[in-house]
Amino acid sequence: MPSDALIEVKKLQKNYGENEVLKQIDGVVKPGQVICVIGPSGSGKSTFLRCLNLLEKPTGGEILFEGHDTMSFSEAELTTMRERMGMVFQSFNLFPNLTVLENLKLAPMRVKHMAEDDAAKKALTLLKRVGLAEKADVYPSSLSGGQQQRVAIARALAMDPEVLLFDEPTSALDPEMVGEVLAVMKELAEDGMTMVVVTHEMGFAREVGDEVWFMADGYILEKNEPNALFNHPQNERAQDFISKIIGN
Amino acid sequence: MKVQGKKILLTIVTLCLSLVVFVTIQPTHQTAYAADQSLQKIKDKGTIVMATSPDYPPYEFEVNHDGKDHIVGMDVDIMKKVAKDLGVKLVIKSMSFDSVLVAVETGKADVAMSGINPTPARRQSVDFSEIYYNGGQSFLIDKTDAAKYKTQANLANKTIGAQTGTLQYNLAKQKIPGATVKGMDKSTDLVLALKTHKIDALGIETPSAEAYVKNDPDLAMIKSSYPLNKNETGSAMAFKKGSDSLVTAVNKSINEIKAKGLVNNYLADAGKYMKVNTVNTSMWHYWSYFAKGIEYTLIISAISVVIGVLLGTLLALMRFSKSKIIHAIAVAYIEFVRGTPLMVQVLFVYFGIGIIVNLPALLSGIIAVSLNSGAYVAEIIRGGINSVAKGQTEASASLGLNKTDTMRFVVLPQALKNIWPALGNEFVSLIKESSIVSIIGVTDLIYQLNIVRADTYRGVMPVFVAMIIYFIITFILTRILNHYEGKMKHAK
Repeated sequence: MPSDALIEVKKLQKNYGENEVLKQIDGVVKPGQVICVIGPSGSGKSTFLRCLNLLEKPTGGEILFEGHDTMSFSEAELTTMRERMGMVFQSFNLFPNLTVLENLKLAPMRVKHMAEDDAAKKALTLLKRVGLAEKADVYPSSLSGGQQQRVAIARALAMDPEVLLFDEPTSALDPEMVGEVLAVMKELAEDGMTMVVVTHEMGFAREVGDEVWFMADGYILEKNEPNALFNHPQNERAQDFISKIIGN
Repeated sequence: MKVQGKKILLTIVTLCLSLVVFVTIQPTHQTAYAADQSLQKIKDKGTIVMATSPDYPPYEFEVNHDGKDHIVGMDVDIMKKVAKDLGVKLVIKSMSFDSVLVAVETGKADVAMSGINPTPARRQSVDFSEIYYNGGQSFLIDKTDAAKYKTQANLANKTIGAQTGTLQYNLAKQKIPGATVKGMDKSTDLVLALKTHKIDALGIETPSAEAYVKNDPDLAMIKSSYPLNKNETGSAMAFKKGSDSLVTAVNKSINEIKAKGLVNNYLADAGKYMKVNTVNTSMWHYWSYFAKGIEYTLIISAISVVIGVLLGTLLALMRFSKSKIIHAIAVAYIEFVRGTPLMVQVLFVYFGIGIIVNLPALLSGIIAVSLNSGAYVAEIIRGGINSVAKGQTEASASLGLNKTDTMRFVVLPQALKNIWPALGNEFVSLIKESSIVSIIGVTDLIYQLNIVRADTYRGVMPVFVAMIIYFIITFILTRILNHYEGKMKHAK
């Protein structure tokens, strides 16, 4: 099938003991695509995303990254794969013991062995891009949630990843800060970044997404381009979900 | 889980067994080996090492003259003469009385001489020279009781104090009808107990009793009326079992000393030194003793903190290891060290390991305290690592950082901040607990404190001074730690 796939997921399963969170997931992410994953709480969206970079170990199925089976990766290969697959978390997870600039410099210096000057230059460029250059030398605890999440995005970008995974990046934010983070993400999408975004922001999914995947009960029940999925959902559960969201 | 628990238990049991085997086998093996090279060995190395507890004037005590501390006393003079007769140099090693016999058994010293009575029980573990001095037995009493207690018969049904494990202790127990015998480690503590009426009389050798009465106007003495076997109640030198040739040579010198009545000269000599000590018994006069004690306490604490933190970090990381063997080693070590008293560990390192490698007392003390501290620090650090949110490790992994870098740059710095107060507590208690090394003769603050008490015949004041010094040290340390805790605050 698609030899140009960046990530290919085949019959992915994940159980926690008796609890089957992911029953069977199939999907393809192509370079430059923005995939938005939506669905009710507890449908397995975050678990699915975390399986992609193996923060969770799948219990069945296959995940291919650039055609390689990620589950047979050695520790070193896994590290290399993660270096190319950035992640942005719901709770930001900036390193509180480091300044903003140090948060951005750490991985390029330790993983890519970049010289400190180059890493700092690159970090400042990225901070400018997310509008936070003046915060370079402060500690994360003095930033607002929205600012922290923008720094987290810049930190992930510092590794020049092939793809960025977003795990509900705006869910932990006060409403007035959601916009600034979504704006940064939108810019990234326009610059051609490949993104997989688990989100409740339907407006963002509709406007930015190339494809929207609707997940419920451990399955992807419907995949389509956003307008089709939001205006004419085929699946009954999707219809129900979307009518509730849009209705309110 | 169960299987792992069993494995850990097995490791612990194996460890204990190997210790037992090591401890029981080693000395017998050694004794048989050293058969009778004893005299030749001393002559070959040109020195004779004497273990003594210099808190027992006039037998042995410390004196400060020419700005230096010297161990002097009758025992020292006798041993100087013995060394001269043997044609070797005398080296004195000071330690607590509990340790002097162990020191000869384990080869840390060639001879133990500390006013030791050659009781039958002691004869089973060491060889004794002939009796070199028999001072007789007496009781110290409070001067206000002098009218009440005129003879030993008056002491029936009273509370008698004596040093634990000594002849005086056993005699009081067996020969004074109805007496309650109270044992303590140090004669200085016993005198204090006497003066505060915790005991009614104190069983002690006559020369020591005389020295106390001369130097303390509140005390009086009565002679004992024990029926005594001279061969058990005098003082003798102790040697490792099987040192016949050495004992014979030493006995020759002892006989000469007795024939010429040299002991009286030595006693007079000791009396002169004791006067030097008691001319000025203010604590300022003894400041150099305390200064030396502070120096050693700080040296031991500082080195042990550094090693303890390094070892503790290593052990904590071993506990997180995927390898079950590495994990089990760390768990067994931590459990074992935390399950045994520091004092036993200090004795084990100095005397036990000492059979294989001859470690000096200070080094042994530092090793024991460091190894001990490592186990406690390991648990604190483990708690700290667990306290760092999982999201931090995940964020680090998602950036491609490997496990080592994640630990080093992300987890440990945050863990350190979280455990800083607990770590501070550990440092403070380490300073205090390091005082236990005084039992092997490391001249830390507690050791020096006991020397000052013995020299000045003042029971309480030196204790008070040491208490204040400990408090000042720990108070300053706490301030410093708080300062750094404040500095780490920014990191949320």
